[in-house]
Amino acid sequence: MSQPPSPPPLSPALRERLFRQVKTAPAETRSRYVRRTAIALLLGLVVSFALFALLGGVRIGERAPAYVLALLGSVLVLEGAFGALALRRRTAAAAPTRNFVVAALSLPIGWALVTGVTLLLWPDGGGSDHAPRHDLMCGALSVSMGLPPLFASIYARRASVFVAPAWVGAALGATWMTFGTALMTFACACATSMHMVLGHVLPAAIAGAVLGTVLGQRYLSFRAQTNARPTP
Amino acid sequence: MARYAAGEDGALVTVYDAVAPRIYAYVLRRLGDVGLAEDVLQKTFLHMHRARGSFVPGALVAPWAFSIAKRVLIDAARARTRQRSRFVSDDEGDLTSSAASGEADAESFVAARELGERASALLQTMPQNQREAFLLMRVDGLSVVEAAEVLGTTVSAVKLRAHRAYKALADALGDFHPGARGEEEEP
Repeated sequence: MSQPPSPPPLSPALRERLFRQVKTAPAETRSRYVRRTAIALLLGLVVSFALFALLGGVRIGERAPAYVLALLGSVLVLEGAFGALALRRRTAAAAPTRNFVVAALSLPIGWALVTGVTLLLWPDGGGSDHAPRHDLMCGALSVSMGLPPLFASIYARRASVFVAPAWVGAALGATWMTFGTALMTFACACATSMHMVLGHVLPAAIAGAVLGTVLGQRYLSFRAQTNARPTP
Repeated sequence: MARYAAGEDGALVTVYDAVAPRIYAYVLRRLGDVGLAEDVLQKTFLHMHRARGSFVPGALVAPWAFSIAKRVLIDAARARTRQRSRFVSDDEGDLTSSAASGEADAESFVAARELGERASALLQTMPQNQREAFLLMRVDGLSVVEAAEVLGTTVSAVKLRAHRAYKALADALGDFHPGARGEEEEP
């Protein structure tokens, strides 16, 4: 491959003008940015755990402790493997879109598989009082517990995604909705298969995909025309 | 860039000297207007300045700067709707001038120009991902890793796209030389 054509010389006046303009434009430093985004995420998690605590924290009920432990372990593995793909930033430009697609699809599918397998292994999970009202409540609470950290993640990355913002949003949505529904599963002692599907798997999957995609497309996409970044 | 992101304003000089000429060449090649290219470069650096806190320490600076420049460029091109046709002719101009470098006589120049025109026309018919990979690496001088970050894909995908673009160009232009040109035109 031959070398590209050499760039034309830059005008010294442009350099001077730019440096003068930069001096007057406020910009956040890395440490302030890290602090601000960490505080936002921490607040999001605090709200989720506060809601979880208000619901009574972990309730074993009639469920086998091993079942609850299996759920916990599976969620940690899922989030560690796929949530990290969505949350970890190793490049200032664009990470491969494939990572976000994998995270957005694997988390809800993985959570559905975990739910199915654990229900097969512990069929007498407990909680026979299955009612549509109960499904709706668990679904709403699952989404409510996933929303605060999702909003925090969107806030931290807003207007900074160059490629496939909808997929990045969907991956973040899947990550935090899986987290939210997992918390709700520990707080809900009912483990009938129908309730698990309608109250704990589907709402999180749908909300994660829809909210993540919409918020991602709306808020994550880099926009050159606007002052995309906040001033400190 | 890491020092600049940490708040050391003086480090902007180093970033500017390292990145600005490449960004300027990239923008100028597509816009063909020095004034507009300088404006886009200035806006790109202002965006980089405002977003410096979000720069990931240890990451490559060029793909980040190119990604920002690409968005600013798109906005500038939208502002000038006729820019699209200029984009085509600029690429054409590059390829033509590259192909024509070192050629002194008029016949060779004409042949090289025609080669450039055919290459540019072919580039426009290629899938966008192949064209972008080709232009970023071949014309803008980005490495495979840098191009992958700008395009948000993997290194192997960029290699594959660029290879397909090279192959399509080679297949289409392989038989093109002044001697064969006349034969081609015969019925």
